[in-house]
Amino acid sequence: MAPRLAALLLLLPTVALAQVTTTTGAVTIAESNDSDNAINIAECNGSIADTLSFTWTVSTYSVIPTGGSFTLYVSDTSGCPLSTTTSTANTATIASSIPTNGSSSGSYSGVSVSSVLHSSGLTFSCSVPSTIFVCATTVDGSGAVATAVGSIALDASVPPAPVVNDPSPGDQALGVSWSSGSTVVDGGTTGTAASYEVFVTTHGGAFPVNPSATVTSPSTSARVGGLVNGVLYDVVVYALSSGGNISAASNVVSGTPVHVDDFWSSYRNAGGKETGGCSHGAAGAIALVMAPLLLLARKRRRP
Amino acid sequence: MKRVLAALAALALAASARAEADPDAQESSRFGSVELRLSGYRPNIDAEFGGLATPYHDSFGGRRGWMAKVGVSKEWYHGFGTFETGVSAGYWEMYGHGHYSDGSVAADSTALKVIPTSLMFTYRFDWLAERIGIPLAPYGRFSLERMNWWVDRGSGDTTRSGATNGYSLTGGMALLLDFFDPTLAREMDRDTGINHTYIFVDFTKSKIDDFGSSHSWDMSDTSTTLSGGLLFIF
Repeated sequence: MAPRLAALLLLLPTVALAQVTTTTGAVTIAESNDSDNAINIAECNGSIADTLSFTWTVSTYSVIPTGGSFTLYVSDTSGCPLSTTTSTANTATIASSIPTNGSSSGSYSGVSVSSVLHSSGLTFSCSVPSTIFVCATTVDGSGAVATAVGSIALDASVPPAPVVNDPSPGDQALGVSWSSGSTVVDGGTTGTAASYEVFVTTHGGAFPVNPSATVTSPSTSARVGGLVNGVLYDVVVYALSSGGNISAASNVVSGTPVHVDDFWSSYRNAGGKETGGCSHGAAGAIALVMAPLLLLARKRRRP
Repeated sequence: MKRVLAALAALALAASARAEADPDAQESSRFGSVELRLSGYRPNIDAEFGGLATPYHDSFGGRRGWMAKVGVSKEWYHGFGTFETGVSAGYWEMYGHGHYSDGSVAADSTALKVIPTSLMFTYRFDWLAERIGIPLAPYGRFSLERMNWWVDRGSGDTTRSGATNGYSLTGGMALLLDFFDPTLAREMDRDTGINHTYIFVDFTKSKIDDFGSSHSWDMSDTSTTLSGGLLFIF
């Protein structure tokens, strides 16, 4: 293995020269923490644990030597050039000598987001939006280089805290609406909200970990059900960027669900005579009329 | 009046000439018809209160909602006109707002939704359109109606559901579209089996209150229903 690794390392300059023009496959990247295909600030700085898994296939080069290997590395430049060939490119190796086993596909998992982004040679900042390129490269039996490339966004934008209006009372529910707000209080850049999370608790209580409602932007309202009429509740709303960066908390508003008459209740309260269920009175006569006709039609169709 | 008669006569002559232009045209066998229908609808629920209360209007306002229906009929007689029986079904819904106990309008929504079903008996005088070439077919229809309804509240849950039966009478006029391009119509018959295509407009008067039951509301339309659509004879 050591001689092959040495040979591969010797080949890296050649690999680098070819890589700019020989992107021949795709790397698929998956996060352990979520599936939004973006690394947010908390995942970047390690305050939320997140690991990456990679699968790739190099498509053009079909003659993969049985004893060959893949090298997996991160780049901040499209096309995955190595820093040895492009002065502006920064790269860091995730893993080398991943055996090909004669296949054009490979996989690698368990890579800590925060550790790889802060590797020596890379200059990613958790507060600067970037695209992280992941590259899997190998050399086929003819000596040509094949490089599969994938990317994942570094989302450094933080949406402003929403501004929540007084909730409208509903029946065992509160109607909550808000505007997107304009103040950024986190360390990120100003961002656009991709979704909102609404949290509800009884007045003065701690807000739960899980939201009572999640709303996708551009909608800015939600109906939170499952509440008790006559009980005062507190409501707070957070905005989330596409990568999951959470805004500061909105203003906290309070509201009390009350009984609401729907149309049926209004009708009955007005003295309406309909009671629901299947029809009354001569309805049976209708059924008697319809049934023979349907039976007759079926009978005539039979040979 | 003379001008009208002259125009009709000219139309008949032109139609005869069109019919004679393609004497070898053979129709495929006929089974019945399919119709696609669109109309306005507003149930007459407030009628039972005699103006003392208007719960429907209070919840949904005075709008008429769109009702779409699809019908299939079997042809039993085709000669001097056509007699068919068939069934149809459709959908209608109206959204509004609930009310707080003080009568003020709440943010919570409420909805009345209806699946109308019908058993239809239709006579269509299409002899002029198909034999003489005058592309108009007046028709009449008696239908037994069943309105399958349910009421939703703000949470989306159904508060109450039921069905109300009744009947309706319809009169209308169908315009034979084949008249405008007989060659295309024959090709369509050969390719799809659709013998004729009509566009129609009609008026319906309904009485849907479980035949006057003292436990039922009135799901008749508040006014004469104007409908339009397409009719395919196949």
